[in-house]
Amino acid sequence: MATNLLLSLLVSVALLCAQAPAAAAEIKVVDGPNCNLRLSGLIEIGDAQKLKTLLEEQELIDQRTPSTGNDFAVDAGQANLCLDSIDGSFSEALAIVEVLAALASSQDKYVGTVVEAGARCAGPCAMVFMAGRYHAHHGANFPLRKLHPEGELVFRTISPSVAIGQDKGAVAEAFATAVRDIARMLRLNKGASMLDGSTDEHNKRFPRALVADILRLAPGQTLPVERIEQIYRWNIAMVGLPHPRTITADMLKNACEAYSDLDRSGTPERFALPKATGAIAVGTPVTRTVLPPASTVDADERQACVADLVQHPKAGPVLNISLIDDPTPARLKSEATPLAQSRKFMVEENGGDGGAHGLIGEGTWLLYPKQTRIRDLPELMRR
Amino acid sequence: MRMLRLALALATSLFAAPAAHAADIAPGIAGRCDIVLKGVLRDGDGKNFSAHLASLTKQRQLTLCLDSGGGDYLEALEIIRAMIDSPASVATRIEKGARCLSACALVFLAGHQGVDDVRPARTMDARAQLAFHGPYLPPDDAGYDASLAPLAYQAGVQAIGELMVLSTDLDLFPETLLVEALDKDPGAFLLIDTVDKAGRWSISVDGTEMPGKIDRRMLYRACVNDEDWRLGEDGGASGKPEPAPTPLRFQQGKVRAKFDGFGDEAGWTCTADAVEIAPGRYAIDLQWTGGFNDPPLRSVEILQRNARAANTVGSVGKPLWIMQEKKTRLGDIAAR
Repeated sequence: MATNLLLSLLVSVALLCAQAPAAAAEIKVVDGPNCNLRLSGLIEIGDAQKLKTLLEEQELIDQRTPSTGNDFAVDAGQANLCLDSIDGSFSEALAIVEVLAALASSQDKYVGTVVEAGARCAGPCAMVFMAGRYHAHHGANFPLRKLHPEGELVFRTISPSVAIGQDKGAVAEAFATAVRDIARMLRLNKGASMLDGSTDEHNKRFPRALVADILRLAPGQTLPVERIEQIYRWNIAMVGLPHPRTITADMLKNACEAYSDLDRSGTPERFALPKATGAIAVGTPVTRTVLPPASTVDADERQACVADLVQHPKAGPVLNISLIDDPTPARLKSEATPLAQSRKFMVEENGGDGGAHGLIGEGTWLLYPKQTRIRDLPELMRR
Repeated sequence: MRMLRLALALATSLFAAPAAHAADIAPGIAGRCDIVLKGVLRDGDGKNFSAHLASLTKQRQLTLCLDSGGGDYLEALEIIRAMIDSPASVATRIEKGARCLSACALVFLAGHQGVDDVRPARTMDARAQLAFHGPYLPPDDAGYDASLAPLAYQAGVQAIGELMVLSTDLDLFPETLLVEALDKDPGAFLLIDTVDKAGRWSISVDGTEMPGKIDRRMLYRACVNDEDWRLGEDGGASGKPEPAPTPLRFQQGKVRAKFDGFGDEAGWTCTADAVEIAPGRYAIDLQWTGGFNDPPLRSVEILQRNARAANTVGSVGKPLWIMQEKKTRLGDIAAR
């Protein structure tokens, strides 16, 4: 499969390997509101081993993780790692991800990742960020990667894991190194499948759509994570958002449409507004809004969206959304979860396995149009 | 993409031997191979293929037969793009004695049925050759300038990036297969030569010897394989000893065996049905249930249709080679 790609290189911009800085990242135990470990500074050779040693020596369970009342959720160790690093070695970042993946599969220890307000996580750091996970039950584990609206998360293309030589064979070898580096990255998606063997792309460490976007960046080009549609597509959670003050039926429609895009490919179902389209009473124990399918939807693909807004004692208003196929009044009555049960699930069980990690129901940021900048969310939510 | 295209344009003029033949793209045996692609993929083959495919406007479902030792990676990507974008669904096939290596193998993977709901449809004959590896630059083909090496790295990254774009949202390019293929050195191949490799990566196998009889252990192996291939790992009911190859007692041409202890918390039961559809010829079906209920036998007609090759996850009916031990070589079960 000879790939004659080389000659364009003559005309490409020269943005060659930056000299590796000598300083490594600082990795230490902290007692913050979002994490009990912090990595800051340039990610360099040796950092993976440093983190591994720390994770193996320390009592891992983050005491800030609230109990769900779900017996299965607390049978694994969970640490949370805050990240603040804008450069360094891509290869070492993958080595860190390999450490985290091995800890999860062999020792049932999981590490969530967080980019807090004011922190910057770019390039190699963003790879580590995507590896954050929590244990749900029986070995099934899901992404736990949280971004603060005032944090910065930026993807860049990958860079060589080994020094590129200067001899005659160096050109072909450099190409081969790229192919191997990508194989190494994709291999880290192993173990991210669900119990039924399905492998939802958005539950992987490196969803293929993201990998495609990253690999096609030119050196020096950046892919900043700044809009709601990106964090939903790549299954990133948010931390540090205020409770939304005003919620309208239009906003529930936004959330329903985003939720209905199950494979997160950008092709949602379409819903119509309910007859009463005023503001939803935020703060009441539970409010149900049923959004019928849009009139343009084919008869055999009609779905209704049942959006329950539940007041959670700690998390504020949380969203429990479900979709009902072929929504005749009779089916809506028989298929939709009874209101009291929906509220109980969200309040007493924290919305399931993710609740222990602050993932209660659908993120309220889904209420806003998908093009919304996450930096603007706090202000929009306070309105 | 601009960089890739430019690379191709410049590189072709330098690297491709002027006398080199492009692949032959032509109609084949109607109903079996609607298009036949034969020979090494070279500059222009992507366009030729796209034009040929576009000319077949009447057919909704086509089969592309492949016989190629590989060739230009970017041309293969262009062919894949045409297959995916086509309003017709294009299945792929490697006939008895044919080979499909390297860039051809990627084209083979793009074989599918359905347009909105795309599922793999790629069939190799047990006596054909299918092998993968990643793209590479020919070593020192034209005395490379070593100072270009860092840019060659970026070219490699972008080359795979283009494949990722094509395979996003499609279940046609299994990640575990890509990882193993990309890890191969230019001279080394990932051969699809065992029952396990074909089953794991949803490759149907045709031209296999039908077993003369079916025993209990064979049905058990079918359940283990189906479970492992569905989960993409070696899980299943591992740890349990295989049952003895006890002969099965067919009643009115049908027999059922049940095996429990599969999956999460060993809570899944595999119900395996074997049906004698003609003297000494069988069809099998597997159904998974979470409890102790007895699922009804499914359509014998569908089982019969799927008895030879199809191995789509969740399909009604399974190919008979699913009853083989994982390490069984395809050549060893090929029809003579």
